[in-house]
Amino acid sequence: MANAWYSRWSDNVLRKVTPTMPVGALLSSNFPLTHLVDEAPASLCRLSGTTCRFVWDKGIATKIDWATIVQHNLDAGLSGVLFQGNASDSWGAPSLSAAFTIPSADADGFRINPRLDLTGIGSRTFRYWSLTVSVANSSALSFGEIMAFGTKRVQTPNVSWEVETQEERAVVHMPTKAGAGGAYDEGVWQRELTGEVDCSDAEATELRTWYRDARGTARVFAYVPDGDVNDAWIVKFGMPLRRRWSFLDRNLYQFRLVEAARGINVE
Amino acid sequence: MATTVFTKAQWLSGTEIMTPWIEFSLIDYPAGAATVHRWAKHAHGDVSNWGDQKFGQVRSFGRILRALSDRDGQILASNFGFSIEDDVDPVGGVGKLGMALSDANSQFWYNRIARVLMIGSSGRAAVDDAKVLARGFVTSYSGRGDHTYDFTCDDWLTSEFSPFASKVMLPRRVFSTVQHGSTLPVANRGLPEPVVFGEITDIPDGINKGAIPSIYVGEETISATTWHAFAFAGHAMKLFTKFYSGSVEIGSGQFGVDILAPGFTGWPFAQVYRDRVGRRYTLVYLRGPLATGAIEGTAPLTANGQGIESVGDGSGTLIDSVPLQFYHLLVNFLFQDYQTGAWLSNPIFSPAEPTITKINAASFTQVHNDHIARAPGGVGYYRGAFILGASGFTEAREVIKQGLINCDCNGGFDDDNAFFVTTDDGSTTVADLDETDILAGPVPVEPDMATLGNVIPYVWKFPYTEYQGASSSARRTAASVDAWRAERRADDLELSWIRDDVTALSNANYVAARKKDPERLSRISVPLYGLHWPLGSKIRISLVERNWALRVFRIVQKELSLDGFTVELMIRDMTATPVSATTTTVPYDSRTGLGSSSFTLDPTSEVTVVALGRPSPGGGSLQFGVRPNAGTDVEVPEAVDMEIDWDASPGFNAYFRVRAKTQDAAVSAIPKIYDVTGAPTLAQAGAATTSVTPASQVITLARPSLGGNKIYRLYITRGSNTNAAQVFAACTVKLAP
Repeated sequence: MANAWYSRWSDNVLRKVTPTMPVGALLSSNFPLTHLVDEAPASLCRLSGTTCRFVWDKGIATKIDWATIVQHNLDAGLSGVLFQGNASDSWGAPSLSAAFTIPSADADGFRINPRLDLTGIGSRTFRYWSLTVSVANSSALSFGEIMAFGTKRVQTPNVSWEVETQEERAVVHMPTKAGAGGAYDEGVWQRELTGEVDCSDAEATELRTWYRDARGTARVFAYVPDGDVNDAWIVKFGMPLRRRWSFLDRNLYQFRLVEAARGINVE
Repeated sequence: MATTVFTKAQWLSGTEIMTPWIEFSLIDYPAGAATVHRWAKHAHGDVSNWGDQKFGQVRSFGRILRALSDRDGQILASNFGFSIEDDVDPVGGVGKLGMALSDANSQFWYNRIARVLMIGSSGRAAVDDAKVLARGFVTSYSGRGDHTYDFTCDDWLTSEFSPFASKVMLPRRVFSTVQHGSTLPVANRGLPEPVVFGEITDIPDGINKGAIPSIYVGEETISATTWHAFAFAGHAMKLFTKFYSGSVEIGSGQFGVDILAPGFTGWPFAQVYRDRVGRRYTLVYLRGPLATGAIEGTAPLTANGQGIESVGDGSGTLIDSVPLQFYHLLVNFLFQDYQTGAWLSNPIFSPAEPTITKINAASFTQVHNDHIARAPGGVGYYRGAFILGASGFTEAREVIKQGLINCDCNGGFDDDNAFFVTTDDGSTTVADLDETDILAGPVPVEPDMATLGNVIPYVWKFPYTEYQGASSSARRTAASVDAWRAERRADDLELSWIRDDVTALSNANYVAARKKDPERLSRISVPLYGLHWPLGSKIRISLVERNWALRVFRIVQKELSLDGFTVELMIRDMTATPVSATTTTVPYDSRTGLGSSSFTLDPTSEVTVVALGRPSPGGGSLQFGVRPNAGTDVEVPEAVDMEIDWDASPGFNAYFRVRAKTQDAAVSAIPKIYDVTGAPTLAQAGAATTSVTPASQVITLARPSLGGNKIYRLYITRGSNTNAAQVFAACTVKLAP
């Protein structure tokens, strides 16, 4: 188990940077490339094929420490899902190439968002970045969001023990007069994490910066609850950031993270 | 592909993922570019079968409402609404909808089409089509301050005839110099161009003076001769049987000489109709004394004949079934504006859905078949004959109301949002329910006594010329009066599209059967699969707690809630009661005792009170006539009862100034005053009159020796049964020494 990772909202260097797609084609114009970077995981970029390459031109060399693929339909264990960086838009032998490990799907078909740590690679500052699926997926590709962060931030101190997480499936239950009844599943999950951080005044500064960078509950960012577990959440703050001064240079901060809507898995 | 279906089994399994969504087509002006917005409560990206990406911006779906017309024929709007959270850029703070609203080209949201669709996981697996739950036009929207927009969408009828659209008066077409030239009399410019349905004739009634009026539209030169044109209709008519000049039949020898009429000797044109500057008419031409009398109004030109047929050029089959006439009227004259040529087709909802029509044509045919099943007699179905525009303009919604009343059916919007009609007796049972289906209700509802009607007065054969009065009668359900211990006169049933005795009788009897018991309405809530039960259809409910076993109800209103996935039904109890529906004929104005339309004379001052029938459209009086057998006294239609307190008026007599007339001098009219305080008894008879114009006389009633309160009523009879002439009377009364 390792400390949680988090990103500030502003860390996402791919936000609103629409990539090109030299490999692959859109399923329709209603699933455009802009959906990959619109901070809305539930709006999809759907392709007609099973392989692809997206390329981002940042204009200047830009550092990326870690990345995640959100609301995808990649097969568990699919090889060839590579995140690459290069000084030029040429991908035969890019300077950086690292593979995502694609986890298994949940029992209900929802996928886990894999995270890829690049900090072990020395040089990771490039103008061009690319995500490629070079090995055919079992079905036509679909992505909700591609996010990449200029700084890997490890939550220090970590969220305290007795953190609570909650998962809820939206279901409309309908009991009848006979006591029997059915239900309609709305097909969506919502996950939450509620916790506390016990920190010094200096450590609290970063916490506050993180909150303000997200404009409170307005903007999304990434959070990996356990740094050792390949599972990234895209979340927003779900409540005001509450601080309790417990002693000199000791603060108790309460926070809640609410997962951004992933939409309905219609596959 | 089949359209998806929602079932009870899906609901019970709890495995069905329901995905409703909104499609809003925002069409720019003037370029016409369309942006289709698709919104759902939870975002999801479908293949194109189901509309691609939906954004999770629906805050609430609102309710999708459909209802049958009420008992008075008033159509209730079918509508739905939804609330959308704008997609706001968290950095810029600007929402896409907000931007569209402020853009010069995309700010036009009103009357754009919105649809609500839904499919479940079973339907997706089967690659079914999504079900369209509602279609409508945006008739209102409002933005709240929190980037949320509330939309209301109405059915197309409400949209076209809403406060945003000008009030549509029918007929749409009016006589104009564009078609008829400068010789069209000024007084006739702007008059409605009549639309004639069915066979309009007074020959079977033995009157034979012409039931169809004409309008002088000016001069026309035919083979170098000046003729005067008279319009009977703003379309082709099937045929004429006879023509009249001032109620005198025009002889065969005059055709081709002083009169040119389609289908008669001397008609010089290949077609029975005349097209003038893009409009079709049925015209008859006169010259000489016939023309002079018709133009001056001393000898109006009238006719008997048949109106609209199935083709549009006079060659087709006469359309004389009331529901089929109703359909034809809706397609050609209400929802569209027929000008010339072949009749128009059922309009489509939008080019994007060319197979969805605005009117459910099959439902009108079904109502026609329901009428056949009623075995009304005569031709075997409900025969209609009426002229739209003969008595001026009628507002569009009123025309629809008249159609529903004359067809004795309900109207509403079906699951395709097409206008449809349905009868009580023709509706079918679509589902059996029990405790496992009902989420809430039935809400117990006591009988609404205000809806009881066991005397149904009805009027038909409305006159279009001054030569004929309307007919009237009433049906009384004695068993209902006994069972409910109340005699309730319903509002007059005005069958303005009917000129057929047996059709009117059948219509009135079915209304009587429906109103013989007060209405019982209830509400239940069921899961989504209830949305498949059509409005107007029947369901049967078995509930142990109510001791109901397959109790029959008719669905009169459906409200679909997509937030809760429920369907709320308003249902009308159709279970037969022991009250027999047998009716008997009673006078049109039959009352017992003092009704609300009677009055009491005040003898402290000399009072004149008017009590007479409504004026006829031609501006005369004494509209409602009767045709009793000689020696049988009947009540004069529309006359009110008059109560006199003789004790408060010592030394006063009552003077009834009666105006009476007959249609034919061979049959005299004899007015009478009856005392109806108890069983009706003759108080004083008036003199017989053979005048065909109203003639006055005074019937004097001396103060009774015992005084007291007395109620009097105007009666009339005929002097003989020589022919079918009707007799009329009206009356004023005053007390004086």
